[in-house]
Amino acid sequence: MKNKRDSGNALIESIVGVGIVFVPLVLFAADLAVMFHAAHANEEFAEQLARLCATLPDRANAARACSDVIRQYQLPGNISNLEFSNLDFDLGTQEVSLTTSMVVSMPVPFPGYSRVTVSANAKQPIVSIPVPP
Amino acid sequence: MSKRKFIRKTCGTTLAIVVACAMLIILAIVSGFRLSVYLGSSQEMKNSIDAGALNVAKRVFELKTNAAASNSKQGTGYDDVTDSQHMIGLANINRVWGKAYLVNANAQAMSQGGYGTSGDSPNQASQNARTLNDQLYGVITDKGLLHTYFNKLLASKPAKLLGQRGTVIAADQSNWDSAALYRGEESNIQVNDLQTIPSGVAPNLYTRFNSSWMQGYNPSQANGNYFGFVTFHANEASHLVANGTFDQWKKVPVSNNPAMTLPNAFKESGQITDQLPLGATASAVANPMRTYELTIPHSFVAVSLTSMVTARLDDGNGHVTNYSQTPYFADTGTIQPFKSVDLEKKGYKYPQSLTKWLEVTGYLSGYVSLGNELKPDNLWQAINALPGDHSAAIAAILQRTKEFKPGYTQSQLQQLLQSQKLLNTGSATVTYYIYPKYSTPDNTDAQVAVGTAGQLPAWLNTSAAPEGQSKQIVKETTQKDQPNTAWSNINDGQYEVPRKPKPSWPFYSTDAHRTALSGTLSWQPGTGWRQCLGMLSINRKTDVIFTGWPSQSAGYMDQLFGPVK
Repeated sequence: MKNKRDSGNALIESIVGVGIVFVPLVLFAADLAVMFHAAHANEEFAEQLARLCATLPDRANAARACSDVIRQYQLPGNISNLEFSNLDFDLGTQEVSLTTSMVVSMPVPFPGYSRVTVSANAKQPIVSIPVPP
Repeated sequence: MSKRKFIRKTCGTTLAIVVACAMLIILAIVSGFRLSVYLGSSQEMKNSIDAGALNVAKRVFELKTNAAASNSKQGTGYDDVTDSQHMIGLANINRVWGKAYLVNANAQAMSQGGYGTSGDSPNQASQNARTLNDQLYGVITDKGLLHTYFNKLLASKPAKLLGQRGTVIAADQSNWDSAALYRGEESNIQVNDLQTIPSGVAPNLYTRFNSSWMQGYNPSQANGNYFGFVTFHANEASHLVANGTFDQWKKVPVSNNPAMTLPNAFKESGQITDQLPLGATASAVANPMRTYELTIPHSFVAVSLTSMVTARLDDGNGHVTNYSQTPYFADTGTIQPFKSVDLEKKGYKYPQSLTKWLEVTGYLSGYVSLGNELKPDNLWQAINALPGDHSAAIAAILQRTKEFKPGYTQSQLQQLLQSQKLLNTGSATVTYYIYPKYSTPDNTDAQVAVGTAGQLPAWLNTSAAPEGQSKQIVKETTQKDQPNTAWSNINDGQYEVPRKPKPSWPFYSTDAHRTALSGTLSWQPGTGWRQCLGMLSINRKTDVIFTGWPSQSAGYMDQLFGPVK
């Protein structure tokens, strides 16, 4: 009897260990990895979008180009939304800045964290304006 | 006991393994997190340094030198190619070289065309261009100044993943560098009208999309001097370039460059201030996105018109009265060189034959209608007034006009000159100036105008003379008795008839006379360094001979006075 109880203890410990510690940790790690990847992708996307805007002559064109790029962008399965905001085409400082946001669906939706929004700001010097005469 | 001990050990082992594995997983997660932060920060820093380098390439055009900074009275001679702030920067340094090149091209063409040398103008133009170039080189390669532009953008682009430790700053400036990229490609000086450059001079041109440009980093030669242009691709903004491409060219000198090679690409490095050993380098090519035409903006072509009349009363038998030479104009009309000359008292004769001279009596008054060749009275007519091939004169003016207004056509020139009325200023020679008018502060939108003293822009120096020697390029066909004509009136005029008493001599009321209108056009080229690109001098002479003779055959006058040439 004692031997049977010992075996059960180990099994229970294993189940408790795997179920309560390992699995959540691994799932958390998976969510973390997806979030980091999305944040990195969003950061790069913001940079590229800002560079594109920097080559355009004015804010209206820049906004239109950003919208076009986002419309044609093939969103990965886990990205449910992508948008830009705060487009500032400042001819005074000759810098353009914007914010992009991605809504990322977590592979393992924890309560209250099934979707996470990652945002990134990017700033670039405007290169589209000819030097003053 | 031993069994109990065994049981306790077994029980603790599984839990320990679980805990150990959990710790390993946590460690892996933390490491992964740290690695992600590291990689993410690295990327952010690279983006930041890229933006900083791009900012340097974009704003290097704000670094300028003063074109007027010279001790000489004339300044550097490049005030007309400055920007609206009267400065020379990387954007318009090619205009300096362009002007210097044209001055030297003009000098070379003058020499080849037999118009003599151009004095010190070409060398002065080259030397001053070199001086400005080297001054600018000192400014745009000043790492301290570039550092300002680099850090300005970096300050607002930290590596955010590192929080407050993520500030990106410029790294050791000894690694910063500059280079001349795109050798032999287009500069921002356009040459779409090849006649802008005088014939016989061949620049290094780069042609793309039906446009021609002075080549960058492949100096053109004229008059024994070289002129180094900087490459700036047309329709291209400042942009990043691979460090490998930059490094490939940074140590390669530009052959025949007459001065310090002005770079068009800049490389900077930066780093994160955190303990993480993160650093990166970025290179960017500068482009002002502004092009210019090859011109000498403050220059002009002069056209001077001198029309003189000489009149004499000459009977061909030794009785000659010369009347003073006087200028005439389009509106001069009729003049009377002399009035009521007593032919008998002055002993005038007429030829009954080439060997027999007889007497005349009466009071002779002469009249000349002048300026008829200048009608309709405009400058185009003044140039083309008499028959002859005037194409050389028109070509000379047009070529030089293209040096401040490329693409200008002969029909535009004709229209312009036709719009200029001929003036009577009272002085023998009236000089007209063909010059550019600008409405932009950087003298880039030339509108060709023509005018005389009093109507000219303040910059135009009418006392600037062309450096070359004058050479006749058009000899017009001399016109006899047209379009300027002469007539006379004799009161109480009688001419001797052999063996007839004086009272029986026949009466006559006008004499035999002749006008000869001749003209030459001379071209005296200038380099444009002192503004004057050349002067076309039109010289016309109406030569009138009154004889006092009664009517004679035309051949008679030609026999005695020689034919009109």
